[in-house]
Amino acid sequence: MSYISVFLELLKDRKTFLEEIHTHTRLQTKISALLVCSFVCFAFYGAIIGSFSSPQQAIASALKLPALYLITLMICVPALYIFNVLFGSTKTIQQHFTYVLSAAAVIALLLCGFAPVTLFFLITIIPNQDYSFFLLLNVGIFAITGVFGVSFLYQAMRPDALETGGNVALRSKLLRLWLVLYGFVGSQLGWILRPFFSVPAEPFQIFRPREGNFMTGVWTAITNLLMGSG
Amino acid sequence: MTFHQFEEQGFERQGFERQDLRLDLREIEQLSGIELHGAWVGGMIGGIYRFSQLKHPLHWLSWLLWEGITIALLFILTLPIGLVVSRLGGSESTRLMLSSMGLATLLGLLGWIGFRRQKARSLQTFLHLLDEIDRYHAVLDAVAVLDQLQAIQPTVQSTVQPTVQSTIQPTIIQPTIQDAPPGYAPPGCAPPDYLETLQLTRDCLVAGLKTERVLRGHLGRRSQTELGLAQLDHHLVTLQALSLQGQADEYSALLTQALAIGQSVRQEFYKQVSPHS
Repeated sequence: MSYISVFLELLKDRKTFLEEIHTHTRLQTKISALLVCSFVCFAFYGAIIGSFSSPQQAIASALKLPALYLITLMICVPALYIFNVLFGSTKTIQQHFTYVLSAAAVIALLLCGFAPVTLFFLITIIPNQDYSFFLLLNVGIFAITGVFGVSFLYQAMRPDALETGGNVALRSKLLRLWLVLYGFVGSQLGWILRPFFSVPAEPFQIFRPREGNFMTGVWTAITNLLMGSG
Repeated sequence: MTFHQFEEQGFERQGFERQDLRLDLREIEQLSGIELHGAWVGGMIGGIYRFSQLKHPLHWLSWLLWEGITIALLFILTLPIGLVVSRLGGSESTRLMLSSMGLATLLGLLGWIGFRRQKARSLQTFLHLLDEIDRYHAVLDAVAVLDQLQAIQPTVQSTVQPTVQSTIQPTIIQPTIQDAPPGYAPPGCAPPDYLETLQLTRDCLVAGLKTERVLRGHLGRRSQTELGLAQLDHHLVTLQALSLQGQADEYSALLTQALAIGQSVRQEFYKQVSPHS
């Protein structure tokens, strides 16, 4: 169970943790610990939100939520690495992966921190009536944790002049663009993997039928809201 | 200064020396170039587990839990494969997706087991060295217990035969300066032979770690390997000479163990090197 201590090190002494990544210290251990502990935290929170609908949904969401975060990360890391190396970064792909995984771990820990709040509302609300409230509550929690995770990553990976020569401004811009890309990929994957929870009266389904994408879904929701049809 | 204070100073000095004799995790990592964490060698992902550490049912439970998490992790990472297959599936897409993910997980697991077995084979000598380092640390702990016993009972002859696992319950006597026997040396200055022996065992292990790294990385670099083996031989000869002096006290059993550790390290290397020479 000693991997949990590595995971908690990230919270207690973030500066040293990031410095160790910078100096390539014990990266294998860090990657293992972050990957496994993030998985467990995401699965825990996924099971909580899934239990809003049914026990089957709890199991499905316990697998889908870690998949959402970890696969998004794996899809996006190569782009970040290649662009950074192209513009003067000397960090390895292993270091890039550890940085991004640390951000995912921060999100996972924050979600675990919110778990008692979600659980409290899960117990106290009436599922069939308060579905929209529970949905909005979770949208809020995911947004807050996401913002903290992304700002952590931005602080951790912000390029310094020493490493990159003259490309600091360009690489900072690239990092911001990459964070937007990360958000897009994550939201599209989330759209494919839905539902994470649904109205309890609805029958259980692992995945909803494919229709459109995240952006068209958002567009439909906005037009529906403006036209007053739902 | 009372005799008690004098003794405490001795403890501190010897404690410092013994701390130097220990091979800490960072030092082993530096010498071997392999990360260690708990019973994992080289990280949980891509590394192997030291099965020699599974002595307690709780350890087994912990190991099984981590393995279960790894399998679940592997399963969710096969999701892209499932998504590709489900595109071809039509109405049965969800079932097809889950089946393909299950199959991919199974194949991934087989590959994973194969990879770990291969890695365990390549790290066999290193794992053996880690076991010997554990044994060496157990000897150090036992020596520390003996020192403390001797320090608090300077005039009492212990009849207990020491072993690494021994649980000796000493009768605590608070001596004063008047109790000190003539010529009594505090623990920090006590028999230098065993400290030398332990230092030599440590050197054996350090030389072993260095040689193992060379052997693991470059089997062709004979000169470095031969140098490492020569160092091992040298330390071992000195160790044997020290043990032949035949100490008639409780330390002799521990010195024999230290010698056994050195011999075991040497034996392991010659076993590995002989097919290549």
